[in-house]
Amino acid sequence: MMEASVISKDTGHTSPLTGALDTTSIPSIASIPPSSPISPPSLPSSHPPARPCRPKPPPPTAKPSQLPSCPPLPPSTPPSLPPPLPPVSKAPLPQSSNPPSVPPPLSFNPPPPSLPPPLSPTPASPSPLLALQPTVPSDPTPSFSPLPPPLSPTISHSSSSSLPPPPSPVVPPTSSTPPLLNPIDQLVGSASVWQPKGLSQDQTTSIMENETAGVFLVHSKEDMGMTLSVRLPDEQGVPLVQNLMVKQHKTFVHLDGSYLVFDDIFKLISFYCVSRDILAIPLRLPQAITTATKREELEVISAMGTDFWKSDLNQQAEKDLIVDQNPSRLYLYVNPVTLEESPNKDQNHSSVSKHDIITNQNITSSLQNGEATQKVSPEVKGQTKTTPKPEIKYKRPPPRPPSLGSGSGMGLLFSSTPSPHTSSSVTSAAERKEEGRGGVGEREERKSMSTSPPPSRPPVPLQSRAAPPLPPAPLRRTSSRKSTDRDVGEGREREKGQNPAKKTEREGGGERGEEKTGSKSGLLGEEAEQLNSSQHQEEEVKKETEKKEKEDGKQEKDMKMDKEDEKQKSSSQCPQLVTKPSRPVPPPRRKPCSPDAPVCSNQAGGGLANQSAGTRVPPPSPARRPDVSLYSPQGGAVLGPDPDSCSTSSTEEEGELNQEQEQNHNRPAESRSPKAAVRRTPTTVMLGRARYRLSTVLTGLISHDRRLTQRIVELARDPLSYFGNLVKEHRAFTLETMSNHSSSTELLQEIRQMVTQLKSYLLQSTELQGMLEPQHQYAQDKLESIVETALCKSVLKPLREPIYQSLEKLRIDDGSLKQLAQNQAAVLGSTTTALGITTAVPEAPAMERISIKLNNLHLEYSPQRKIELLLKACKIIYDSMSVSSPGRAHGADDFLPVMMYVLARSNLSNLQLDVEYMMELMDPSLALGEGSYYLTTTYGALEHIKTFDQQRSATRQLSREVQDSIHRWERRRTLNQERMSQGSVRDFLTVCCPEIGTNPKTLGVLPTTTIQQLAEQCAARFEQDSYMLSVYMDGAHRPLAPTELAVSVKNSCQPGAYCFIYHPIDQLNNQPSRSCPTDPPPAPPAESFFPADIAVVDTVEPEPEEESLISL
Amino acid sequence: MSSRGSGGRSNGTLPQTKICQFKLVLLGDMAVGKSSLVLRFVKGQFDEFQETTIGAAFLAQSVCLDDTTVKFEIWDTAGQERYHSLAPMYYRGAQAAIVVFDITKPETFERAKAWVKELQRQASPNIVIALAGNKADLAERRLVEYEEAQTYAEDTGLLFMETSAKTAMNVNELFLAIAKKMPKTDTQNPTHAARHRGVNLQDPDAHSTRACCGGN
Repeated sequence: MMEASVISKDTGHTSPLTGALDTTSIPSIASIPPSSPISPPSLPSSHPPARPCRPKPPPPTAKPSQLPSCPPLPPSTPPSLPPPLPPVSKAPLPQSSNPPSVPPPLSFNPPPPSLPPPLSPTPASPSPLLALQPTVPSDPTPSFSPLPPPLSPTISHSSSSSLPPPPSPVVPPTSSTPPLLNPIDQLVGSASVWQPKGLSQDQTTSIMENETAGVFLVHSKEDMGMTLSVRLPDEQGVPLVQNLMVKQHKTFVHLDGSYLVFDDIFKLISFYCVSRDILAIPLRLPQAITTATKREELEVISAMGTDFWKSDLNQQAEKDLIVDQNPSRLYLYVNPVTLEESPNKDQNHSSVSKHDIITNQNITSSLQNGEATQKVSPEVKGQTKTTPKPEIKYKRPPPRPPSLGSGSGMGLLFSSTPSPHTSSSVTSAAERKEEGRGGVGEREERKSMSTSPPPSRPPVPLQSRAAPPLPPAPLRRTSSRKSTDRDVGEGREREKGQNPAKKTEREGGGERGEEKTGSKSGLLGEEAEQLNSSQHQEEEVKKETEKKEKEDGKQEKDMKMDKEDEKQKSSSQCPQLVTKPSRPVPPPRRKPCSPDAPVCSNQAGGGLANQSAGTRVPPPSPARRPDVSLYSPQGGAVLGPDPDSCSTSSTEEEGELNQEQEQNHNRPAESRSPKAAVRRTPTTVMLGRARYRLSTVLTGLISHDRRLTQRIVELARDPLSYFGNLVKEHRAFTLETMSNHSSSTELLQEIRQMVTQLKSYLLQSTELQGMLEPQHQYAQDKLESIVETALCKSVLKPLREPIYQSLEKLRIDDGSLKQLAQNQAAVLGSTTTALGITTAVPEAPAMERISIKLNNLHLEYSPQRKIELLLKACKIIYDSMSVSSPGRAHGADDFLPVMMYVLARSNLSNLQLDVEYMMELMDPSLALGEGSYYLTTTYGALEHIKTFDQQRSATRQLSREVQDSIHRWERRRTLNQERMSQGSVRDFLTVCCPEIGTNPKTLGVLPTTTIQQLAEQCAARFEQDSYMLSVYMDGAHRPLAPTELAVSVKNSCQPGAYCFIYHPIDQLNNQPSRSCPTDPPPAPPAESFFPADIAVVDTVEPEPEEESLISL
Repeated sequence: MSSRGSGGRSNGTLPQTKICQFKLVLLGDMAVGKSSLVLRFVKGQFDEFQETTIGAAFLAQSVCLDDTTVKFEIWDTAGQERYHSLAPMYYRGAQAAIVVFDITKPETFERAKAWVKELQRQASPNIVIALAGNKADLAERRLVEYEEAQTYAEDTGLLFMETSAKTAMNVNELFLAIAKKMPKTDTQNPTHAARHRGVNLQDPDAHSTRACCGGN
């Protein structure tokens, strides 16, 4: 105990953070378990195997060792890296906490078994807590309403990192952010850390003692198979480690005491990271792992093996967590009701199992409480009661699955505080311990957190603590249910399931429930029974306490909050903390060059929960860095910006996803209170899960795309890369020659060609291949789209201003803008009838919106994005038109006149330039369709205005040129597309002088340009007359004949694997073959200046990243 | 009618191997029912083959024809005389055109003839032009005789049908007839071609629809 207490302090601080991270990441993982249906009821009968929702293919990983998580990691040779991360002593978080001391007292809650008096019950035991928790104002009981105010504030603090504490507890729990590395990847990649080989029990214990709650190890004992050791939140100074056997049943593995079976240990772990099930608290990977965005990072960590635990990486992460979490700790502490359990923890597995059972019961109760807490305490209570009935069928106490994965962490914290805590807090440390052991309290917390607005709940608890009276009563009611607790638990589970946010949890819970039942009946059956019996006894006791806790949950929470805050922060806090902490940590890692994208992902991943809470913002910081580097003004937008560059859709999707996630989070809360019943149904749960998973998947995909886009952008910016150099040269060339063009079309076409060529090059280059994630295959068109997006950002974004300036100059020179301005007044003066308008025209508000769209369109640099905005503006016009004739579809007869009307009231000068920009710079491979039509219409309308006859009748006949403009434009697009399809960079050549890698210049060449002509260009460009051109490829220099066509020579070379050299005639550079940029994926073509450097860079990159990670 | 359109989007649900995309422009005087005609056609098709558009001035619709999916991008034009000068921007490059007139308004027929003339002079040489005498449901007010238009169409090498956007008469037939007349060189998404052919659940539809259309 003593040790524990000490440890607890440290852990408390650190754990929360990591926990949070894990949880965040976990959510996604949670999705994994889908197989296990939520329907617990059915499961019970069958043994685990039967149930095995997951039974799926993967054979059980029963043998832990087998799983060598390493597989994924192998590639890395990170070992070297580890060193860098010298194990820094994790300074135990000094912060608050002398947690150990207090808890014990609390534990005693003699609590009257009488459940009924839910809130009040908290009585005695709680009182102490209350005293401790004074922070929470009074209100206690009504966990809901009263607590919220006080709690919310606290919550906010805690969640500060995350966000939104107050009102929406929902947010915290959300598992929104998608980790770049999915949880499974993280698990697999870090297996050597959490599944070390050859660890003795002592070693395991010593490691665990210094970790935060939720951190776990899986170790094998000779004959015993695998054992899962989980660091429990240390309350009352008793550091607890819960040991659970990982049993294998046929091809499945499951925790001793749980009926949830999994294909392998990874799935099992990933599930328990999201869902506590029978554990006292959900598992949590160290933050350093959950925040790892890149495989390299994981490899580094993995290479450290058990040394990781003592490394700076781990400690730093914890520190971060601690810092962030401090405020939130309160809540976290609340959750950690496991004080009683601590002793139990020491106990054997069997005890654990018992605990688990208990916890389950507790959980159920907590769940109920949690639900109730979220909304109105009374309602909750009622709900819980109702829920129990359904649950009863399931009987399994454990059934209720842990809170939803992602949000679960956060949610748990909150939730736990609400229901369980209140009661538990009241009951005292002892109860807490029980909860911790059972995990019930935590579970409850988690559940509550995940499901509903954790924040609200937590607050309640606090209040309850302060004013224990209220909350307790409800809790007690639950406690009375003791026997029914399980049922209740099930009900709760169901309720949880109902909550969308908890989908994962639900699933998990459902599965667990099923599995549990199954296992009980089957393998675990006996043990389970024993456990149950023991648990029952314990449960009864606990029930009382729990009841108190549950009932008082909120109060307890408050109480706990106070106490726990300091001590327990770890477990319950983990979720909240995690979110916050994760953010901080990520940045460092992200620092690395490529990190940008990864970072984002990390943020997303680790920040899933964070996102929900608004974590996204934090992650951005790291991500932002990259963006900034990109030089994009909006760099901060990290994720957002990237996507935005080209694809609005991506941003929109993100937004949608976010919304969905948010909704999910919110849903839980909502569902809990009112629609609990509905939610309970397995189906709803399943749907919820599916939705969650889907969103997770989508988010993941998007993040992948973004990451790749970001990487390409980074590459384009990297002056040391061939591609980056090429981009730079092309940009310079464009800027240099921009003023030479006599027509806007010519000017824009050249730029478009440049982009097309760069795209073509990149698509064929090894540089891009090197950036692709092996596990993520893109269809060619998708890849092209991503590259296009990245190029828009790399090339068009910086060129937008110069382009507009040039266009404007051209248009001013040819008088078009003046003409437009003059006729605009005429059109403006035309009556609607004169314009041919027969429908309603946009009113002021609509005009305002259209104006905004068009203005944004003007400011946008991506042609695609511009067109999207144009379509949106047109849509507003359509909407306005239909005001006068709802339901009627308007064709061109109606639309064009109104379009004219609108344009006459817009900034025609800008639009004129915008239209050209869009038409000519648009990705030729993109089928415009609708965009083409409205572009044509806009263009036509502008031309019409330009030639508008003052007499208002009809415009003069458009010039032949204008009439054909669209057609010619389309033909240009077609031609460009054909060129694209050929995939060769025709019009630009990079020539080095006098040797490879030296002084490269990008020269424009025509298909008919001969080497002779190219040499003349070189002479002018390099100011060296008597040199000659040769091409270096395949390790040899080949002098070029004056009559050869430059483009042909280039096309005859493998893209990226050649280099044109302009050198003294007698000097045939025998450059090191290495210089030739041949194909090495990483190293771009030799053309680049520093081929060698590039190669070096590539290899080196990882290091910097690692370092950054480490440092951070 | 609608059943026939089993065209698929490029999505590729189609069993067909070939996907041909064509730009079809609608010309005709104001209020002759250009938009209505197209909307009737589009709405009569399976939604799954439609592309959502922001308005009716541009519509996209696919129809299945044997082993080919013909995707029409339908560009509507403003019929007002004052916007006549913009028409070339729309029909240049179009592979097909439907010139619409109102059988109750002779002047629209004259205008239609002017469009045809312009198209034959300025549009793509291979453009497929269809003449549609719309508002056939108002036969009692007919002022343009079927024979007159039919004769004109034959003389100028046009597809001709009298249609009614209101009753859907000949609407699908018109578009199918155009689709059949289009060169079937695959214009896009060669990748789709790779798709399995055998699956044709839709083939039957296509055939049946044709039968229906067969009316022509």
